[in-house]
Amino acid sequence: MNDATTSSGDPIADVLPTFAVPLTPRWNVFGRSVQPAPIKAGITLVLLVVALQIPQQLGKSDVNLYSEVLCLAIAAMGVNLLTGFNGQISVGHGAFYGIGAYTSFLLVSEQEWSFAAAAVAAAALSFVVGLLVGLPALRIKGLYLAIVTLALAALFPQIVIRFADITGGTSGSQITRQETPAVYDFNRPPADSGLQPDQFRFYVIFVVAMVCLLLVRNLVRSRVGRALVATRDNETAAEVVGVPLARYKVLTFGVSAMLAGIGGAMQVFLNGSVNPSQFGIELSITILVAVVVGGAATIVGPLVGAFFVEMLPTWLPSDTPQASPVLFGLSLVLLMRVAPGGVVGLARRTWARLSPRINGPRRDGASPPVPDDAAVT
Amino acid sequence: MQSKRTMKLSAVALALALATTACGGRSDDNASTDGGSSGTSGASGTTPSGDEAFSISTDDCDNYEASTGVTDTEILLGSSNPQSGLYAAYAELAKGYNAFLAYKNASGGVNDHQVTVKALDDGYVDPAKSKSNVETLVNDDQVFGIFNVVGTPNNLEIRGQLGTECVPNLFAATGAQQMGEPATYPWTIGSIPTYATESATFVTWLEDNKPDAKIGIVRQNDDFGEGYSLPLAKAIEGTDLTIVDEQTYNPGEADVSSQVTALKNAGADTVLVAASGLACPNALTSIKSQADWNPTTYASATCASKTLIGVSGPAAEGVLSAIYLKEPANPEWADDAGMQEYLTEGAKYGLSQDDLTNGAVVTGWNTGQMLTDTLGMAPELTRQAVMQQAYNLPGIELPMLLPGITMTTDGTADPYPIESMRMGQWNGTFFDWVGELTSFEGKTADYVG
Amino acid sequence: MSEFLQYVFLGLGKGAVYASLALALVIVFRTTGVVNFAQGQMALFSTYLTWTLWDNGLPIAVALLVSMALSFVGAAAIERFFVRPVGGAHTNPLAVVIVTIGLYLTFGALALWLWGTNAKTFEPLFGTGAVKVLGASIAYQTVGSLVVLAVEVVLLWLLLQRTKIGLGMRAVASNTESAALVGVPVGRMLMIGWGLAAAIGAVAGTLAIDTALSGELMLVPLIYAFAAATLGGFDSPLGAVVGGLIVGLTAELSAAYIDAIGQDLRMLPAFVLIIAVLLIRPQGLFGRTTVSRV
Repeated sequence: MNDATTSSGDPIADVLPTFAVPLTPRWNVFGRSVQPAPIKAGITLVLLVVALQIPQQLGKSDVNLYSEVLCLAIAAMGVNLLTGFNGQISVGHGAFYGIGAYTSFLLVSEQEWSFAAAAVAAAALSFVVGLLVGLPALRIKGLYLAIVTLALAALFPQIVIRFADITGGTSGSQITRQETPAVYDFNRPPADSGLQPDQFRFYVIFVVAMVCLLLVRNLVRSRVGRALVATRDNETAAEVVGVPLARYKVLTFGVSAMLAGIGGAMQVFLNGSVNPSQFGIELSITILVAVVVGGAATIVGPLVGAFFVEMLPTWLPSDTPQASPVLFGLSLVLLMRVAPGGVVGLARRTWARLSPRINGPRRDGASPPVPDDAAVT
Repeated sequence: MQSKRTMKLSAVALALALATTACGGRSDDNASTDGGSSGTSGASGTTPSGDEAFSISTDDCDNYEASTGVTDTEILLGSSNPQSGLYAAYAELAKGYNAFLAYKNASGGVNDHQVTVKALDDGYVDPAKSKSNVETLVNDDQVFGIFNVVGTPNNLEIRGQLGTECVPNLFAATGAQQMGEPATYPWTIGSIPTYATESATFVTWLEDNKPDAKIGIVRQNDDFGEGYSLPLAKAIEGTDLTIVDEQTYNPGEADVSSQVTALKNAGADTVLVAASGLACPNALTSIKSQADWNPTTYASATCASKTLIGVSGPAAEGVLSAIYLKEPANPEWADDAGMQEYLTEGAKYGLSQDDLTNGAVVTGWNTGQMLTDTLGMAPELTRQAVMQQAYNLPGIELPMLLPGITMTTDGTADPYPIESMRMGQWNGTFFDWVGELTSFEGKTADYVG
Repeated sequence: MSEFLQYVFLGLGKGAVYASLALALVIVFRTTGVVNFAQGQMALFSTYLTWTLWDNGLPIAVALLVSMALSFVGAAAIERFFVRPVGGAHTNPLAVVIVTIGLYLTFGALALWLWGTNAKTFEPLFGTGAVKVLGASIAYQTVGSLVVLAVEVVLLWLLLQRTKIGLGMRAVASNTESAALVGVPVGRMLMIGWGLAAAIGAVAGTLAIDTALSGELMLVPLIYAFAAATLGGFDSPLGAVVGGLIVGLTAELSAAYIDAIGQDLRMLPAFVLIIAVLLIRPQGLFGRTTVSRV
């Protein structure tokens, strides 16, 4: 628990609750179990309300854009788990996203499965493929793993095109009322719900994203989560302490791939179509960028990062379209200069610096720990 | 205690959130309602005269709106094209049609309506971006219809929804044969000759000039490339022409020298190059650099662009391609009225000298005319009438089409506007004629693989 | 036989391009510990600079040298102002990766913005001729590229092993803190590393030219270059070159002779090869094993 305020003569500090502390994660290295719960809870609830209002207040295009953000965020959660928390760099999760997308799409359009069943199958298949990739990854470390996964990301669209008979090749495949009327309603709201298609899709994807978020959060805060972080920071030490390295690393790969696959399935739910160009290197890069820009190894980082990555191009001036990608690239470069720990990292640092001013000095006289962005906890 | 309080707070907030969800929302008066509400067709669907004319029903539309985007003085259309990224050259079509529309608008537009096209950037590679652009244009900008969207996958992505909402997708900028499927997608129509027409033109020319040719194909490994190879295979059935080898390359690859070598090794004496980007000049120079090999070479329209042919330098001499538009560099059209109009008015309305000699700009200019003619001929300015008109074009001559080519459609019987081409051979400046005008009017569907 | 030889020559030609880009990647990594994802697009940008100079009358070799100098300076500045402030490759590797990704996007888009998307006529550094060998022809460009590669490897070896600057660069890469303590100007060494890599990249881009220059020039070679550097060992210039040639040959021959792979999946054998090598020898063919203290 937290200390009570001293009457510091600072009127704001006297009034504010005492539990306004820096948002550091639970197993804070400084030994104290610092709980930021109420502030965090408050912010979370506000954001939840805002999120649920999105389909009500905004137009179709904006709602669909936010749905896309959520799909990307789910995949980013996966990569964040693998790369941020477990230290295995992957620049290839676009392939798992694509596997999830194509699996769910084909099961719905060709086999006429219900989407829920197709999504589960997609998640399962992505998980298995993730395990398979995770096995050789045990031997391939760091930089080389990044490159191998990059090559995987480059190969995936080519394999999809090779099997054009099944996948539809470079034209992609679309579920339309004209050609696939039987399954056309797979992502449309039930007739009595009173919802528009875009609203319905947002809510469904939002629920799935929140479930994934909770899954990751609980995993990270559990013993397994601590083991994963330990593996990242010092593999040998972790092994010495008894962490079953191989099992955890491979499983993490599997789970992260599964999350990316779920993201892909959600995209199919949103768009009702697939095209190999959507699942190439650019996607893998985008997912990684979202993770780092949001804040690697944070719980909400993927959401924040996905938001930024999708929204940033829309904030840039659009009179010269050719300039837009230049500005986007520059923004990434400059953002890393300003906030190497991502947006969440920046928020934490800012909060840590502001908190003494708001709360008054701590009773024990120590200054609140300023999170070190570089040493991501 | 903390967690209990947190839970209470969460419950309250959640309740609040759900409550606010129920009441107060956005006005969806223009949105498409769901649940198969049969659209009240806003206008009485006037079918064009003639009981054989192809008609499009609005009964199954999601909330059909007849005249969105049309005011007393304006018709607003929307488009999605690559204005940024590697494929921005395709946006030069827009330069052509915007210049034409400016010219046309200056003299009153179409039946006193100014025609404008609002184009959003999609970068070409991600069809989902085209789709979201189209949604923005239809829902937020309230356009009358969609026009000249670039790319096969992009058009395939949007035609379903535009079809269910009964919004015209006019004159798509792609030669894919799927643009002419009015039985399933009556609200989508293409503009340029299909790749199948090109292939068929080449085959007809070969039958006259090299009837026992051994053909080798080097093509892009996608539906664009197959759009040439499959019709070619179909067209040579029953002739003495044979395909000895077919090599593919991945889009984005700049080096196809291996593929060309393979064709030579397979014994081809005729080569079809169905490529885009740097692979085009590379293919031509590879062919020329092979020792003791001088195949008859055909380059797809995408390779026959001014830039790519120019970049190929001397390697492009003698290369064949099928042409349907008048080329500014061809002295045959120096005194031609249509060419004069294009050069003069185009310059007046924003085209530079470089633009004017660019085949993509000429294509865009021509497509602009296709649009205004269709809008002008439609009995009324409703979506249904205009779309029906597009599929019932009565053999219109356009100033930049080669003499003898007309724009003709007849619903499912003839869904492609332009199906006639003429073989030309590059002489360093323009494509000089080596064959007569070949017409596949109404027959393109036969070659679709 | 001549058919086979022809494919070998083609494979060497492409492999030379991959190798030269891989060389640049390896130099950056060897001297600064950073994997520069943007190396290909920076090389593209340098090639556009070369083209501009050539288009304005300079002979191509001179244009290349000037472009190399400009690239050197530009890359050094990038290291100083954009890469170093983010933290070194060891303190914050993910952030550095994002910076290089940002540079990748920026340089690619900047080239398109400044020079347009239409292809530019250009010519190969060594001309368009070819020499006949045993019934197959090997392009001058291929022969020239191989010679250039050999020269680059020798010069780099001399620089790293026989000069004071090279010693300083190696020291900084091996143990930055100790190097700083003994007085090696760390910042300058890092900048030189990036500059050198960019100059090598400029050469790589120019070697990749066949008839024309356009934005897609370095996209595919980058993947193969990564494969080559991985195969050869990311800290070995010789490994990069050997790796590049092996990757080029493997892709070419398997595409030509294995129908199931064909030309469209030509990256697959290279990929499989790398995985195989990494599983058996994780540091690559020529790389050094790092022994870490526990």
